[in-house]
Amino acid sequence: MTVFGKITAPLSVAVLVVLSALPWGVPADSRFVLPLLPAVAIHYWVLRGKSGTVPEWFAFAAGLLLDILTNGPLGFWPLIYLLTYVLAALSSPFAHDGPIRRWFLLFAAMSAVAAAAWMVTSLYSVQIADWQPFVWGAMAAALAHPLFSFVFRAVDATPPRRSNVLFERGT
Amino acid sequence: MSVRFGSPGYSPARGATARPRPRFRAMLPVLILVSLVLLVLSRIGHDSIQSFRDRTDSFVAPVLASLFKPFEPLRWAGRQVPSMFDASRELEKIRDENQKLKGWEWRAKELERKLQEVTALSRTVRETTVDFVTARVVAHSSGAFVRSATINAGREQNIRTGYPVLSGDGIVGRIVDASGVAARLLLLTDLNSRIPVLIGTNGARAVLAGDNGAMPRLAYLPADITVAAGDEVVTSGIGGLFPRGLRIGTVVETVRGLRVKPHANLDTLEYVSVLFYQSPQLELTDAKRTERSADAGTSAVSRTEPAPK
Repeated sequence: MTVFGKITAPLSVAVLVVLSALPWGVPADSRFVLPLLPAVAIHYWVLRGKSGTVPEWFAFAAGLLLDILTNGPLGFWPLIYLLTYVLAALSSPFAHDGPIRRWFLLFAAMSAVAAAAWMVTSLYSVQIADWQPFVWGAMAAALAHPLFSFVFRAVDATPPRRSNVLFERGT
Repeated sequence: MSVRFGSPGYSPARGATARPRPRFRAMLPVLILVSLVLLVLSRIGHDSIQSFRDRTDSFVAPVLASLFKPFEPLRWAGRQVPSMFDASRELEKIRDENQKLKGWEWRAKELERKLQEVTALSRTVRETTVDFVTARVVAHSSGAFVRSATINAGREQNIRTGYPVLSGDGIVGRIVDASGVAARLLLLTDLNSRIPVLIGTNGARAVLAGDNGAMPRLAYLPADITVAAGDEVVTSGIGGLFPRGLRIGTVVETVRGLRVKPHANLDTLEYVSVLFYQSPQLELTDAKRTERSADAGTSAVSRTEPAPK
């Protein structure tokens, strides 16, 4: 793998983290989708078999960076991104049957991540948090996935995988 | 790529095409544990977390401000689209408001003249004017449970913890953290925001309590007081953190009871003004922060140094 191939995945996550922290003027209730975009990227790269370039410590560091940039409680986004990493890693054996299967896996992962985020938020605030921003965030992140897949596939410098079974001599 | 039977990438169902499944290393549970510990320390407001924030705030704000510059045209274009559709309606609204304001201008001048006469007669102590500094919002909180923003001015601009923050339309919150060149403001919609207020012309007292929603609620409203939708809400000055009479918003009736719709649009804050409002309460809230910043080596203002008048 080339150097560019190695840095594409972590760079895309880092760029999305920084973009999530900038003041875009998005309404507060709809803003929860922004930090889920790096989670979409982590999920995408891990499913694509790039867990070597986006390891778990990188997911942790990305979350911590977001917490620092947004002045949120430290540890929240590292926890969420690590959960995304685990879900993506667990579901990676089922991600070989085309984009629809991968989208479904991402949708399931984002739903689980949003539910976990809602629970952590409620525990942190010691009151039941409003669930609507979380649902909206998960839906929007899932809808954004095809666009992100297209962009990531375009910038991914790794040579395309040979999809057919490779017959070796003597098989 | 050839994957042999028994190797990590081999899958009996898919033959040699299966990707190697990522293996979880021992680092993963450790990182999850560290995240949980950090979360708990943040919740209890541990000093180590606060001093870490003080250190990072000094370089995060300038970096974010410069990073956002290339995206400025994009943001500007995004804000133009809805305003183009609403232009004619907005013009009509401004005309109506202008008509009303002309009437109010005359009345305000009349009241000002009367106030001067009464003040002269009663020998009331004149209120001092409050200075301010204007700063740019460089970051917004993106979480669902924190409503805060970071501005590119801090202790070097004499900003201190506790100072009220306003936009052109009204109050938006107060400073809760100030490092050398950046400060964090807690928006009035945040769960931890509590502002004593006066409501309507009869001056009913209540506390404006944020709950992370778009419109904060009115708490501790006396039962025998009637509050109607459309009543103006201003700061009462009780508690000493805010001066009396700062505009906040209007009362609206929702399915969840009486709420206050802030005049300032908290989602599109770009520039805000920090009032150098001195109060005895400020010494209590800011003293600890100043000490910590001094320990972190980021303080530019000593504890005893007064803010500019």
